Amino acid sequence: MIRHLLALTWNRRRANLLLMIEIFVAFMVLAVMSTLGFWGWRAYHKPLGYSLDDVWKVGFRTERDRAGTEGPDPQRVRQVLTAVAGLPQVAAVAGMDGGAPYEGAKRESRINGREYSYSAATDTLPAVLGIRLERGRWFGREDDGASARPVVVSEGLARAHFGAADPLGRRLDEDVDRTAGASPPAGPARSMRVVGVVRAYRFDPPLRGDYDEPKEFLFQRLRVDGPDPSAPRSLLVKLRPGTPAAFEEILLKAMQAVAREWSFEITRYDQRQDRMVNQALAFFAVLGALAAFLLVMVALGLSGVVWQNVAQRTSEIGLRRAQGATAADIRWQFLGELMGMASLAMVPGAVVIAHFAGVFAHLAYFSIGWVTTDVYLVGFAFSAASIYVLVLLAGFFPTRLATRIQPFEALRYE
Amino acid sequence: MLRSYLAIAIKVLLRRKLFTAISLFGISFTLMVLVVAVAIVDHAVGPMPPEVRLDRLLQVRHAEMLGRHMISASRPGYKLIDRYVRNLPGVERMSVFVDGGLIPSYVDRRRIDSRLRRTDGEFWKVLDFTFLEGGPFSEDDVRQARFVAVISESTRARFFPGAPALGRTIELDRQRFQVVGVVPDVSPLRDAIAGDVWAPLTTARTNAYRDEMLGSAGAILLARSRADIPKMKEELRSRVERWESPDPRTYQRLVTRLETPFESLASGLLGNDGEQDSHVERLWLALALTALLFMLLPAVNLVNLNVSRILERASEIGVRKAFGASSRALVTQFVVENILLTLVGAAVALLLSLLVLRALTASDLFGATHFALNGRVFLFGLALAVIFGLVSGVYPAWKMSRLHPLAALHGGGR
Repeated sequence: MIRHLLALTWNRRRANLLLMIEIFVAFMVLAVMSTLGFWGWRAYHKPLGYSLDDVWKVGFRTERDRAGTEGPDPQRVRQVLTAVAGLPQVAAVAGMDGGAPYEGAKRESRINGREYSYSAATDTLPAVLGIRLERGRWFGREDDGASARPVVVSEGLARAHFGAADPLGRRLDEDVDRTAGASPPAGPARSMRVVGVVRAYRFDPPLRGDYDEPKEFLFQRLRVDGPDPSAPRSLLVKLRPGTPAAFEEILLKAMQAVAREWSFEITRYDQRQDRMVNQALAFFAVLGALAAFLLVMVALGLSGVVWQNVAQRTSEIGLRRAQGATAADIRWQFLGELMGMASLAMVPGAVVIAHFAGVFAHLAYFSIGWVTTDVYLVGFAFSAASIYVLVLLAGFFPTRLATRIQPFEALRYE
Repeated sequence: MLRSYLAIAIKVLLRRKLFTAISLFGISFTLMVLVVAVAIVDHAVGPMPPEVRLDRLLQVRHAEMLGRHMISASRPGYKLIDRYVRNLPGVERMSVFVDGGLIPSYVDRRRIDSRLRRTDGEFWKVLDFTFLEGGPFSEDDVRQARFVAVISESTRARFFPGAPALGRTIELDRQRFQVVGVVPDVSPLRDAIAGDVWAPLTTARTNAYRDEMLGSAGAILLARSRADIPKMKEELRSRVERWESPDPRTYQRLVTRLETPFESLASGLLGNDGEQDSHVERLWLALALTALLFMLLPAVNLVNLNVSRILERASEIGVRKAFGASSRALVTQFVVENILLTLVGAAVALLLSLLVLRALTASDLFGATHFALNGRVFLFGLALAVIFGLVSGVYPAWKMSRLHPLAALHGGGR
């Protein structure tokens, strides 16, 4: 039966070519959209690995800051940090240079030619963000005076450089000839020692920018004191639960008391998160609305064509009815033909998409990295299923007409 | 001739109301999406207040310092503009501004974020603002560093709900400004000139910005005539080539460019990497391709519907052919019919897009925007409708005209 249907479809391929092109295009559109949609859904539900509850970010601009590569004065930053930490509403405060959540300003460098992203953070970062370490510990006072810079690496980075071996205590040497990223971290030491491992670090939480966590990430120790201090570019402040929003003004005043001529910018992550998630959801809502509209249009168009087709094949149907085919037989013949046609059209669609995935991703201004095989497969399966449902729906009413055709009426035409 | 075609077309369209409705649904929805997209682009780069003389407006919004291993790219600094952009030949007026960032104010325990721009008195002469209250600040205000400000309509609503603002003061980042003027909102999509509060350049807390080659400044220029623009671009290029790097080991070259707002959008979207010259052609190509790709599925759908309707009209075609109508006459007739249908669809689409644009404006998705339809968008929509009509009408018409008269009169022909 299936072979018979495929043969029928194949024989009418010229007549059905346009219909097949339509299904082909619809399938591609649907596959691209559902792949995007599925990917977005997954990215949204991926665990963050840290918590932004009651965390505020403070950005600051100083008189030295904008002139060039030179950062703010570490000593002044230390005073600001001390002032903030002294407020009773503040549970913990940390400084970061690059890679703060939502900041998007990641730094990149290379070890043995492999690129990785990094950020410099103070000893208190885990207390602020609640980062859990898989192995080892975060850097701290005990690393004072160590010859190599203590670093905490992501599992991806550890795997890339040490394989399955234990990364703790191992050395990493940053490549000297750097082409990407900003100025090299302060201090002559390019040699680093691994003291801890985190699972991963997503500094672009949900649905934004690179969308996926950098696989190879590394935290360097940032010191605002000691022999070779450097300054963070932003502060992360963890508040005690229940601190009112009005605390913002108090916090601002406290910082301004220490650094009079600096400008501070306070970002409340909860608001920021809501806005970004809303924007991302709006994007997916538009995407979904467009896909729905295209599908409805295709369904209506197909049913129009099938209807016309049925009307035109009256005599064939009449003949079959006269030879004893039941109404259901006729109906399933038409629906089967449609399904066969859809199947034939989807094969080249899948090939084209799998082949040009990179181009599609690029067109949509996404990096290619996120299109993993399982995302594809789900997207394809969903699209294929939707197309079959669509074709059956489109064929439902017109084929009912076909079953109403009486043999004598049909044969009269001949 | 055309009149009889139109008369026939109307009759045919009314005869099969369901088919017409299905076709119209697809056409109007497709065109609606495109018209909305065009309206958004127009809102970002079309000539409208305060950028009325858009054909002569140019901006400097991007600069790069290039070295063998380092590239620093950002907004230009004040010093770059002051030294290289001033006194270009063919400039009628020029204004410099420095982006002050998003500044929080606290009014009655509410936080108000305002985008602050510091600029000169020329700003109000390069651009054509209509003042709702008061007027601009003058060059003298800038020289004397008076703390005066012009604010936007929605900023007035945030600070002084329902009341006039003239003469009242607002506090931004511990500086108090007296409001001297209120202007209508500038769309946040117009990045070069958008802002909530404009204040004199000299009110900056420090003069550090004056020494920046890269920073957060920008310039807008009004050319004397369009013909002068290439000359101005060339002059800026050769001036910048003579740049003497303060740090020749890190940076050897300086790159900046004079762009129209559309050129700026193009280089922003398609990568700022280009040394010089615009990405305008590439952006147009990308936009046209996207529009065509989006139209592809609806067009194939309409082609299918049209083709399946040919057979219904086989006898009409047969009669006309038998009486000597040429293929060309038939093709013209059917294409005219199809274009008529798409134009009706376009009318529906315009109505729909009005609703969608109103909803978008209300949704605050892009910030304080006021999307609207205007003559340009309307003409674009019309052009899109004709293109769509041609694309979806030519193949069915050609197929129709090739029906053999005998077969056609018989009522068959597959």
